[in-house]
Amino acid sequence: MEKYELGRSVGLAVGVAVGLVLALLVMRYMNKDHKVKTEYDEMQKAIRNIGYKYAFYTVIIFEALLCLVPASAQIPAEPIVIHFIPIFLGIVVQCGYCIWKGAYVGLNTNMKRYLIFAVVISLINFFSFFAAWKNDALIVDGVLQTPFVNLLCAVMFAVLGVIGLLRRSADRGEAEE
Amino acid sequence: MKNLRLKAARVGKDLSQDELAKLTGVSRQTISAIEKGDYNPTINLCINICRVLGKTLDELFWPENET
Repeated sequence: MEKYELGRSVGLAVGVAVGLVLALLVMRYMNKDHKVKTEYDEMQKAIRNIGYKYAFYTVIIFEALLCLVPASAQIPAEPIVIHFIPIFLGIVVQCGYCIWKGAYVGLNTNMKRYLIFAVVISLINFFSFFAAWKNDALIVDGVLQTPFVNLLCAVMFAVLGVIGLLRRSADRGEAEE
Repeated sequence: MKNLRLKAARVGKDLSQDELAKLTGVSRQTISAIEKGDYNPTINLCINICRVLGKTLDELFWPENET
């Protein structure tokens, strides 16, 4: 069992490292000038700062609420699921706020590539979730397993997509000559 | 407070918000927010906009009743 836990932790660390490298490559690919850093103008930077503040408060509030759960209470989910909920909530708050305020898309972002990437990531996560569900690997002994994180990730992208679409339709309504 | 003088100057130059945004190095949303009075730009951005539109700071950004 200890070997399994160690192997799992090492696997997770390697996965995160590979994920970071991939994220850097993807960020370069998604920017028109192939720079890793996305450029924002002064208003976007100000809005993004407010978004980070709200996301920070969201994570703090979630963790504070989690502290209210008695130690004796067993949350029927793997710890990784519990940890990912505030992460995704924070991302939704920050990104959702920025999308709504027009500060999400950078000056050098290739929107077409970004949208393709977002759709592909959502689908991969949805399929991973459904595969686990089909194989009865989603809930084991009444405990929510890691694949639930895939669903959270896919839902996160879906929520951000909906906010983006609403923003786009609101933009179209604006008088622009 | 809406900045109608900026909008008029932009339209006078036959520029869309998107075109003015590209010329000044900001997003279209930022130009839209300035015109709607939702965002107060920094002096550097004001100068950039004035240069592109061929106007002075007074003409575009100084309150009308104080000029």
